Amino acid sequence: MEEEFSAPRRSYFTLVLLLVSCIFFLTAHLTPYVQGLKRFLSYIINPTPQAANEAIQSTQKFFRNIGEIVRIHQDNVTLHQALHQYAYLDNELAREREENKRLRQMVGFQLPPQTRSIVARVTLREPGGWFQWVMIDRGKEDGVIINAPVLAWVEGKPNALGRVVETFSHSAKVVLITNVLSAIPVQLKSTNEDGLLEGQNDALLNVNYLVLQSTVTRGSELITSPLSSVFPPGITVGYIEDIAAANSESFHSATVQPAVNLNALREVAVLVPSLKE
Amino acid sequence: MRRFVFYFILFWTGVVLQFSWARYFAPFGLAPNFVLVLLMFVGLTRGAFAAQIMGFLWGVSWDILSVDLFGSHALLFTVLGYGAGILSHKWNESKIISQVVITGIASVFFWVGMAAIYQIFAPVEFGFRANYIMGVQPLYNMLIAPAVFFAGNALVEHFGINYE
Repeated sequence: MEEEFSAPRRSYFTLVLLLVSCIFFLTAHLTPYVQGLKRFLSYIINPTPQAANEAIQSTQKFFRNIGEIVRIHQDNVTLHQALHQYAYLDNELAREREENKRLRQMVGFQLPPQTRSIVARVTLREPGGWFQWVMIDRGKEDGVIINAPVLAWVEGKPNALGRVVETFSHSAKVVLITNVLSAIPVQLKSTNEDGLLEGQNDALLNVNYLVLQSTVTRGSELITSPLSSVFPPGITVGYIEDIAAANSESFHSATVQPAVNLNALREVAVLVPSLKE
Repeated sequence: MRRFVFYFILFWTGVVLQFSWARYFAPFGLAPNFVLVLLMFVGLTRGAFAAQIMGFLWGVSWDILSVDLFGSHALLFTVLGYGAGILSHKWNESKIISQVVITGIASVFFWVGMAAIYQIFAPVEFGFRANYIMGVQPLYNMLIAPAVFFAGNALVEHFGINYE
């Protein structure tokens, strides 16, 4: 095509033709004919720049989206970290609330005369001596003395837990009532009949010396007796779980469920003589 | 056929570059005149016939897509294409200095010509007003001319079209 028209005369002819067309457009640019032609040609020309624009905008949008995805991912990681932190704080708050509740229950306790209580936390428990002893975080320096009774709270009520057998500067060893070395004089709350509660290194206790005529029944509450040299009288110790057949002519025994949940020991109160003024 | 495809691609490349993508090369609102530089490339390398037709088509496209005086760009680009075409083979168009100088002259001519066309053909309410773009755009065109010539030559080589 080019070679055919490459001759100078053809070139001049084309130039004249094109120039005449241009001058016609310029002089008649407002006539309906030229306006119509312009509109018709715009239908042919316009789509390409528009498509190119859209291509550019799509590309820009694509890269913006990539950037957005990266930013969202970073936000997600940060929020996950924050969420873990808040979950930890939430657990911490629930724990503190529980502790607060337990401590409030202890505050309302009417202490026996001339005694004061030292609140302590259970800090150590050995699997080998699970029902035998625990360590608490108060010791000699805090006023804890040997043979001091240790109470634990259940639903706002104090319950016998054990007694202090060894003290250190800031800790003490507590023998639990379930320890085989423990023997506490108790009485049936309903009849005031006495018995001796003994530990078995087990979750359950054993009460002996219940008279054959006793009206003890399953679920009867046992409280500390005034005969106890360690515990103040009237502290709940446990509930009759099962009554055994008489093993002697005069007495029978019973299995006792401790009032304290020995698998949920947290704060305890050690009762010690009040300070002399 | 290859020549037809080459000119077809070149035409639409000019349209897209000038009317769609020029804004991405426009610091302070100053966009280069890609069509004019491409026209110089066509004129210097392909001759007057091809250049004046391409100039006319690009000019008509510009007039359609803009609100300028209809026919003004067509007239200017046709004349510029013809002018560049008659200089073909009289310059060493492969030299960057030649490309820059011819682009600069054409750019100045473009604005002078535009002012003249407005004086002659435009109604009174369409007065031509000079602005800073008229002074700076020729320099910008001269700056991009080597890149446009390089890309144009690469396209010519790709299509395997002989120089005339």
